[in-house]
Amino acid sequence: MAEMMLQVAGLTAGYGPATVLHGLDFSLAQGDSMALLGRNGAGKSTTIKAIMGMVRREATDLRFEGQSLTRLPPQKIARLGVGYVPEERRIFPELTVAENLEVGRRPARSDAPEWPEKRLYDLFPELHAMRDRRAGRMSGGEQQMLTIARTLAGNPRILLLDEPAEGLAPVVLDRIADTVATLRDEGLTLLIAEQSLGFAAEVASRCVVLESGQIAHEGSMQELAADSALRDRLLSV
Amino acid sequence: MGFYFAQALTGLASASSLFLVAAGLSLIFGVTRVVNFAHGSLYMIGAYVAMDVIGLFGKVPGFWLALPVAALVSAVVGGLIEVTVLRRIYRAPEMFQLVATFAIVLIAQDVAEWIWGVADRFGPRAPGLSGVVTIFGERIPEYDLFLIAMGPITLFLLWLLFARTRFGVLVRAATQDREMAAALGVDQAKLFTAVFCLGAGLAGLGGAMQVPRDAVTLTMDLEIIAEVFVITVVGGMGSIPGAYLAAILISELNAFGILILPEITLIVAFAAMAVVLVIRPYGLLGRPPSAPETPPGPGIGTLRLPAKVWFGLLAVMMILPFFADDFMTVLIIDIMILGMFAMSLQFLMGPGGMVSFGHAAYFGVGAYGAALLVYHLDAGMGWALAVAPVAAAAAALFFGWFCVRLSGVYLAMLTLAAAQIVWAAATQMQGLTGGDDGITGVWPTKLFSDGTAFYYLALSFAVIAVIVLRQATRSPFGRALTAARDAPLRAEALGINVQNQQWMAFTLAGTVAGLAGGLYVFKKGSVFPDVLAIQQSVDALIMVLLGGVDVLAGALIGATTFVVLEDVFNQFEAWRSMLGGVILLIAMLAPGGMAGLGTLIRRRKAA
Ligand SMILES: Nc1ncnc2c1ncn2[C@@H]1O[C@H](COP(=O)(O)OP(=O)(O)O)[C@@H](O)[C@H]1O
Ligand SMILES: [Mg+2]
Repeated sequence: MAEMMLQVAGLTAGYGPATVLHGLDFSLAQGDSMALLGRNGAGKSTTIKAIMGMVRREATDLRFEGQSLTRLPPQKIARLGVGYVPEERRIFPELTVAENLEVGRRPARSDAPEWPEKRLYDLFPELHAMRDRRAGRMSGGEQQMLTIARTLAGNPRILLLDEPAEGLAPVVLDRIADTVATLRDEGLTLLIAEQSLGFAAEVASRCVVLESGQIAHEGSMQELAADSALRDRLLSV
Repeated sequence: MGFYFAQALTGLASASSLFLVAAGLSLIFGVTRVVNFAHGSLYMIGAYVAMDVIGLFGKVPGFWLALPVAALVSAVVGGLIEVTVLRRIYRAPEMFQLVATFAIVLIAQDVAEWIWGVADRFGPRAPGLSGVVTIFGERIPEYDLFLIAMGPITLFLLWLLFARTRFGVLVRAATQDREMAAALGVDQAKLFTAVFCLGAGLAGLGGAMQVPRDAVTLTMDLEIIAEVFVITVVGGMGSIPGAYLAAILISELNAFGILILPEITLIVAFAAMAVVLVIRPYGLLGRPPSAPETPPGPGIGTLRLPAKVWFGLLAVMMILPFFADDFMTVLIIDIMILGMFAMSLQFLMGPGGMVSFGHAAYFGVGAYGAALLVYHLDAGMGWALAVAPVAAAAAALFFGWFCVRLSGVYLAMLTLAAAQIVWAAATQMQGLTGGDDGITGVWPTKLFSDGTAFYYLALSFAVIAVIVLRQATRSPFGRALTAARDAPLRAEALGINVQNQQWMAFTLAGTVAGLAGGLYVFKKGSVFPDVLAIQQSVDALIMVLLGGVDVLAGALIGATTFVVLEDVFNQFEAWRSMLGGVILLIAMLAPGGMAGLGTLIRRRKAA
């Protein structure tokens, strides 16, 4: 088996004394796009934060491009090329759009496509028009574009998206979905957390379904989309 | 007309140094969330370094060289402090951060004394700016005009830095959401160190700029810090333009207040601060703090000494005078008095959840209340001891009303300012209090002039204090207080009037502190403004920290340790630094104090 880009084995994580994830195993190869599904509270956000080093975690193996992440702080992990697009967007509200992008900017790297400012604005022309506006003053959809652009500004090799569709109007959602699909087609590796199929079904080829911090199902996205009984069991509320 | 204009310019000139120091403090707080007590030390270092540079190079070019060199040296010292100490306590509770930075103040004082000696130094006039210009018929020092210009220039340069550079953008991002900035690859550690250096450099520059106006002394660190706290709180913590506005406001109030109330100028500043905070709780240009990343959460709290242990302790204390010599008896009386003082603070901080940096105010009001009664009205000891807690209660009722409107570091800084007012009143109202000479000759009545009798008197007061505070903690009042501390919104929803409960707690803590203060006067036979000084407030905090904030008994353990440590260290010249070192070690290694250490060990064993 070829060396995986992101290797996760025996990942447990939690907050304070409470353990939320109980030993997850999965991996992504270069160019993969995988959905991380599960009901609200299943542990999707925690999984992503655990990869980023933002919560207390332990793992038998947690590696990105062969480099162990278990002892690295978030900024070092980000600098390896792991791009994190957080839940609830977390833009810097007092900073302008351009300044938000500046925070995300990292030096170009040989092993990942480069995202100069112009290319980011080509991807999201809306942002260009608002570059001097305070980010806190933008609509939810615009903020979602900004968080994605902000992370891309770091020239990542993998994108960890936490519920990028949450609370977006359908038009905006399509727009974001198209963009993410483009990124995938350009070869960016993707891990997308979602509660339902909607967005992920269009972009991801594989899926992992979480239930109470454990993997309840693993398979192809097509298979899950076709099997409504399975879907009901795993995802319906 | 001309006179008022001149007075206004004097105010503006004073504002500049204050602004630089306050801007540095505010900047550091905005990014790291640490209130840096040692900021005054960096200011002092700047002033001394400036004197050295002037001494080395002569007035010309020494003075103009002194400004950047002082800023640079303070920046480097600040960077060292950040890397060695602060970095380790960013996640610690506020109290530890404040006390740890105060420990740095203690160490810096010793080091400064060692390098520069105790004698005050007087700087030269600024070369080229030593003359006066006449405006509206008033003679205005040229140097004042230079200072006045420095304020807006610095403000503009800081604005450029923060608005126009990548560094500035990263700092602002980290101020808003540290965790997210880190997840985008921003190295917080480097950023924090850089911000600390910048803030420290501003303080150093502020110190150097004061050299032509004021004497350079070993006490200028704490003298400025109280004023700077007032300014950052009034301006809004983290807001640099706010710091500028507030520096001007406070300096102008001082400049004109001195015409109206020459004796107690600080009162004017405090009154202004109280008004601003009641209208705008987060200061003129401040914002409500975003929710803390790690909510403070309940402490160890459950650890309580059972009544049995208290009775055992009491029995030991009852028979102790039969075995102890005079020296021991005196030492234990000290421990009991300071223990009461520390317990009252523990009650405020533990169940009350309010960190006070000015608890000495109530201890001191109790002490002065008793002493004044004896001195001016020839009252007996009984009356004096009855008045001490009442006077302290009145003061706590008054200042508490303002303080409980705030929380966290804002509250801590307001309590400190309140204590500084009382301290200023005690030093400045010479007719009443004797000023720095204090009040002497306040001895106990014959019955208690014997050491053993006084011992039992102190013991019975201490027992009362333990009972009152212990019962208060366990009563429905105490439970409501704890509920308000842990989840203020939920407590409000349950119908608890949080501010009222906190106000009562503040008053109760003040009352007990006042009782301790009353006893203290009769033990010493005298009282000086020291009992109201920052050092006294911090001593109480150190005791609570030493013993652990979560249990009442911790305060007693802390007071015992403190008195013994002080007694041992006092033999050495550098005892302040040694005390500071111990505090730093405890703050970094055992944030639960000694009482907490026990729990920690038990938990480790259980795990
Ligand atoms: N900051 C936190 N502190 C304590 N528990 C948390 C925290 N965040 C999430 N949890 C808990 O962890 C579990 C998983 O949460 P999360 O990973 O956010 O789920 P999801 O993203 O799948 O909705 C939930 O039970 C949630 O209550
Ligand atoms: Mg989530």
